[in-house]
Amino acid sequence: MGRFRQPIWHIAYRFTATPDDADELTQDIFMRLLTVLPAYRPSGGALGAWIRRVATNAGIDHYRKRARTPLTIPEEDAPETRVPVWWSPESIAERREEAALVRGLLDQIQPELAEPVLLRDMMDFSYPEIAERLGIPLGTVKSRIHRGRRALVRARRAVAAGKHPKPGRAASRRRRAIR
Amino acid sequence: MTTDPFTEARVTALAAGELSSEDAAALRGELASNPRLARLYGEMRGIHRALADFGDTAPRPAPGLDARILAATLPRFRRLYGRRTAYWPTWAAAAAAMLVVGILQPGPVKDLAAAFPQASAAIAGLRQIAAQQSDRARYDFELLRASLGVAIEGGIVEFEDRVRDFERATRGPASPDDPRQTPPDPANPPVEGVAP
Repeated sequence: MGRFRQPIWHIAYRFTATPDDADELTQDIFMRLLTVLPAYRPSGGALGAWIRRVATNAGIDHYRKRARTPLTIPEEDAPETRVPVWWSPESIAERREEAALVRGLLDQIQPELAEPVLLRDMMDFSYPEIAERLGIPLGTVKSRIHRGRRALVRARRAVAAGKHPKPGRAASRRRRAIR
Repeated sequence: MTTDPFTEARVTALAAGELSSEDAAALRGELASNPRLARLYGEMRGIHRALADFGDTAPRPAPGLDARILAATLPRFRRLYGRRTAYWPTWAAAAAAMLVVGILQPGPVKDLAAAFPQASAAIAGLRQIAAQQSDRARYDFELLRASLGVAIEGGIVEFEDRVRDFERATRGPASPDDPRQTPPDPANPPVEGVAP
């Protein structure tokens, strides 16, 4: 795998959540790189970091543009259980399934909350980096990340309680059909 | 038992590993005596881990991604730089190929001279346009420098084949004007460390 191709594909995958969409976004990112490459200056930082920044910006743009199927997340928490039933350190397959489920839920909370959570919890951006990238104050970033994580917990509880269907491939197919 | 938003925010931060060790220890003490907070912490940990897992357990790209990217980007590249490449010598076409395949190919390159036989011609051309001191020359210089940077940093294993493919796709067979087929210009000697 190329030094940049796979990282870029994985950046795209985090934003798109499906391999097919990640392929398309990766192609878009490489096209964008061709367009902006003359603007690269080595004095501004390492090429790899610069390419990842371009890829992330493209991912954010893609994430904002695509169609969404928002959930109506209940304000009231679902009845408490002693132990969260949906996560425990079992097999990779279970963790992958849970990861896909939570990633699907991320697409269904408010975008202004989802974007900073995605950048923080999936891309490991620092709070100041997120503030710079999204053009919002640092305090707003912190608040939105907390609210976004809280919304994910509520959404996950709702799925566990059977109040909402699991987000899945249907939503992805709908997005592609809309595009 | 209720929790205030500030404490909830701290629990969220704890689950994400964002608290200092002192704050974390203090909050863990609260968790032990507050089941609601403890539950929230467990859920937050699960959410945080699931999001991290999503990237860590991502599938590999489907085979043929290279070809799809090249197919998508080469026409775009030609649209962007077609007029420019019309007067570019072959070294520029090679640089353009580097631009595309350099991003795609694995490294490291152990022997730069062996992996980049076109590099000396490219650098000789680079010196020529740099000597022109015009805006266009400076633009070309930046583009080529960026291209070389991409190619070298990314490494190129099948560079020669890709360059030939690229030239065939954009220029047809090699012409007699191909600078690689002419003796080196004494005014532009090869760069040290890069074989002609």
